[in-house]
Amino acid sequence: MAGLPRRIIKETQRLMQEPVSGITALPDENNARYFHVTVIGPKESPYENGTFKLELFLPEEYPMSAPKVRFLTKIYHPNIDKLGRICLDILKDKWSPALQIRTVLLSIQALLSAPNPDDPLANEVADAWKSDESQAIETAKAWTQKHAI
Amino acid sequence: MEEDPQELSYSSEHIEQLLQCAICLDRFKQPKLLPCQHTFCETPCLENLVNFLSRSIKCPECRAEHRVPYQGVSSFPNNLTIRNFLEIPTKRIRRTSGGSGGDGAGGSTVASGSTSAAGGSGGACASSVGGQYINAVAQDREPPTAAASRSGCTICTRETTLSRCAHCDQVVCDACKRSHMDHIKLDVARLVGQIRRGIPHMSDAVNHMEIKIEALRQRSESGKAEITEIIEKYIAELRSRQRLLHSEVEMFLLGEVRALRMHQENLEVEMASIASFCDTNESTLSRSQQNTSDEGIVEDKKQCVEYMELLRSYELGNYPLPRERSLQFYMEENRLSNVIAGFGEIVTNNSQSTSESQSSASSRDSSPVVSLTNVVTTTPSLTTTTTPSTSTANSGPMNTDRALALIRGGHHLSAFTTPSPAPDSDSEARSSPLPRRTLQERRRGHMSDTRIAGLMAGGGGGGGSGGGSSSPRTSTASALRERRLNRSLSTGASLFTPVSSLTNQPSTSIQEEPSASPSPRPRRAERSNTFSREESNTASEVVPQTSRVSSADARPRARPPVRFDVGLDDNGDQNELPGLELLSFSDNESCVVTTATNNYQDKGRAIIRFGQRGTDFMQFTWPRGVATTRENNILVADSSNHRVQVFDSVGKFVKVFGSYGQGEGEFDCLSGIAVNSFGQVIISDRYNHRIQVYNRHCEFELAFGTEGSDQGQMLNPWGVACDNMGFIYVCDKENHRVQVFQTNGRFVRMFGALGHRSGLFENPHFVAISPDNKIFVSDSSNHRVQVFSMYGDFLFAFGCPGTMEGQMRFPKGIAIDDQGFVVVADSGNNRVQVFRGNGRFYCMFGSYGSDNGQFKGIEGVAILGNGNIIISDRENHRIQIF
Repeated sequence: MAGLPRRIIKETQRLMQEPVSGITALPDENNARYFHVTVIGPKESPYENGTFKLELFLPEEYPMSAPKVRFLTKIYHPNIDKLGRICLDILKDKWSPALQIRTVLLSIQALLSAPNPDDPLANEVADAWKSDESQAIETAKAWTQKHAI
Repeated sequence: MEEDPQELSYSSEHIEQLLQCAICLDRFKQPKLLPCQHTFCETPCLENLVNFLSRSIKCPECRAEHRVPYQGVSSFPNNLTIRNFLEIPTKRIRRTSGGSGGDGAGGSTVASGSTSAAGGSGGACASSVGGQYINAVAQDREPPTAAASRSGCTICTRETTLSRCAHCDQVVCDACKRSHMDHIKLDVARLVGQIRRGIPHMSDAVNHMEIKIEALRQRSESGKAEITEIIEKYIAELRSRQRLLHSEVEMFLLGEVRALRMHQENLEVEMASIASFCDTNESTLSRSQQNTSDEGIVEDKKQCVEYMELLRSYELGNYPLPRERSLQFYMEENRLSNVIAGFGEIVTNNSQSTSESQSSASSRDSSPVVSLTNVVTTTPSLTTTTTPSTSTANSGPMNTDRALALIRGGHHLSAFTTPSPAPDSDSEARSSPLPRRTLQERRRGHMSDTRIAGLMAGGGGGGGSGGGSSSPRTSTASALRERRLNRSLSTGASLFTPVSSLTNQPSTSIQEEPSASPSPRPRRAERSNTFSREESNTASEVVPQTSRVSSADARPRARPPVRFDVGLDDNGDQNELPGLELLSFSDNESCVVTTATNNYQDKGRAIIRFGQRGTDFMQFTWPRGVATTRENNILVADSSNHRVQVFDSVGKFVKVFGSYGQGEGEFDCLSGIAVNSFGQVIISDRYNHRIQVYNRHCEFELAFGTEGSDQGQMLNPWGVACDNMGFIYVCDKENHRVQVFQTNGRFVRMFGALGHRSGLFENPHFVAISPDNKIFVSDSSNHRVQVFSMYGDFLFAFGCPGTMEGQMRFPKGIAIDDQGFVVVADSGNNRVQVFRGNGRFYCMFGSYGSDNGQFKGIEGVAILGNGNIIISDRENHRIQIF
């Protein structure tokens, strides 16, 4: 990895020095643009106590284009589909180079606290969420229990 | 002052951060200022950001779009301030990179610190006991300076023998030190004096604790006595209930035996006649065929065949008996034990004011108050009178109603709320176990509520909260009630005769049933009307307009909680449940209305269906609330299209209004919609956390409410409803409460909080007002519908989680017709259930799917003037009319 931009190095250092609570992001030993991420399910959400594994990849254009993030742990969430893809505006059209790995992961953590079924990716989940929210929350808890703990 | 250097070093870090470009996370290189006042490096950061197609640049900080000048990003202005910052501190920071950081600035502070110390000179040291030593700081920070001045006293600067002060760690001469120590001694003496003076307070407190403990002990004792007393009373009531049930069983037995005996006699007579027939025939036959005509013999033969037929049936054993009635004692087994398990609660209370209002025995300070609260599942309304949290912020009428509740509650409420229970000798005569009893008290209370409401509406136009104006009327009404109550108590003993007389005459109901019941479902409804006792009892309140006549002389009698229903075994025809509904706890009063004029039972297939997903007219994206106007137009809250569509009663598109946004006439996922008696349209603008009011022509009038949990604020308001006085009821979903507003948006009152007990909500979704001004709230996550008086007092609830009749999962929309029938959107079961006004199941229809009459995520319901039910079928994005 010859030309690793200073920005990525700096961000990686910052992540190591001042870790965010509930989030870890470790660069892969072979590829400094690939991060192994874990996010702890936020308190008072159906994902509480769960440890969710994600992968994060910084594309060549980073920071001019958004990092690619995907859930590796199965999760029941209206904005996250079966493959772990995340429906989050800042990962798409609302990306801004002023955002960082840290802020992206915090946003994902926040998304776990506040699912948004009106902007769904997993349609079935979103439908369930809307027709029967408490049931959906129960399912989400069950999934968390099953896959993330 | 001590903090100064630290602050500076901190802020230098800050400054360093401010000198960082948000894109490259490095120090700015050629900082350029965008029109939005955000700064970035010219190359490569800003250059990479330019969108060459549109020649624009989007600020990474605020996402504002700017046009890129013709010459490129280099012609954005330089940020000179940042540039100056970048230039100046470079050397400094380099220099201090090895040190503690921000040293340069620190040096100057030391200097100023020492000058101020010099100004304060001698007094500075002993100025205060806990004082700070500015010089000490200077020394700590700058040990070389201290070393330089070691030759002289730091206070008087004279050179004598120096020693270090134990108190302030300073190098001083003996003279200075002595005076300094004297100061300290004086201080110590003063403090000791102060402490001495303070000691008595503490001992007071010790004594006070002793008194507290004693008081507490007394209170617990009286609390215990109270508990025993109440429990004893209920035991007695159970006993008398037992006696009553026994006597009813006896009664039943007597009736049955009498009927059987009668049948027996009939049979005997029959037998005798057959025997005599045989005798005569034999004798005729033996007396040769002289004077018997042929016809006579033929007649006899026919008679013989008939008798043979009869006897054969007896031979086979299936001879006809009088209708057999079986007897079973039925009760919900766990119910009473649940009630008992949850009965009573020790409320320990910290709040002084409320504890005093509750019991005179409670003393001041944070001593726990023992008071009993009724937590019976069916009647937790009592808790509202004692729990302080729910009794906050009541306006006038509510309080008077509370007072009423106390009066009408008789000894019951007083037993719960005051430490001195007033035992009522009549209570034994009434002999009804507690849940129903108290429920009934409430029920009767509500009757007066509606009456008062009527008075208010008639007299004062019903505007505002009107606490003062209504109070004289309330008092008369309560006096009236007390009189009635007394009367009912005196007649209490002879209450149960109607029941037994009914059980003795089953024929009346037998005749009625086959004629008026085409299917098993309505049959159930019919059955209840055979008990005239219940009819007359509750006539007045359930549907006032239909049967005031019978209510005129219907005294509010204490009704036994267990209805003694005798199931008739109709020899198998259409009665698939012989003897199943025998003795049952009936949850609520039976209802006068026997058949709904809206033929709910015939519904099940939609007459009209329209809509599909989309944003055109006649298309919806998750339609939620629906409402009807007086002109029989249908309003649909087209939630995710952020608009309201208006249709006529057959589904023809009329108009549309609203768009996405936060301004007037704009919505963000509206959900509830209602029309009041003035024709105004009330809409809950969910994600804008407000309510909007439109006039009859769908023009914006006003909006009220903001995001929050205070009075008048709301979080995701969902269903709205209006009563006939114009009050607006809002289901404040995330705050788990119902708020009431005037038409002009003025907050009136609120009730409910998060919880599972009666009167509490979890995600209340929709609200509806019955013709007699009861408030029905779909308490969605508690899987029930709760009913309140117009002042927010809990009356009763119905529904429990499940898929059977009368059970529900996540009930959503509610609509109530003129007769008081309640249509509930049972969203979790994808069906519509219809209940009577008292919460008894009436009928249901619908299933999961997208065909005619099927639903996916049923949400809003409304009833048209012609009795048709409008249903918003959310996930199918359509409206169905039944």
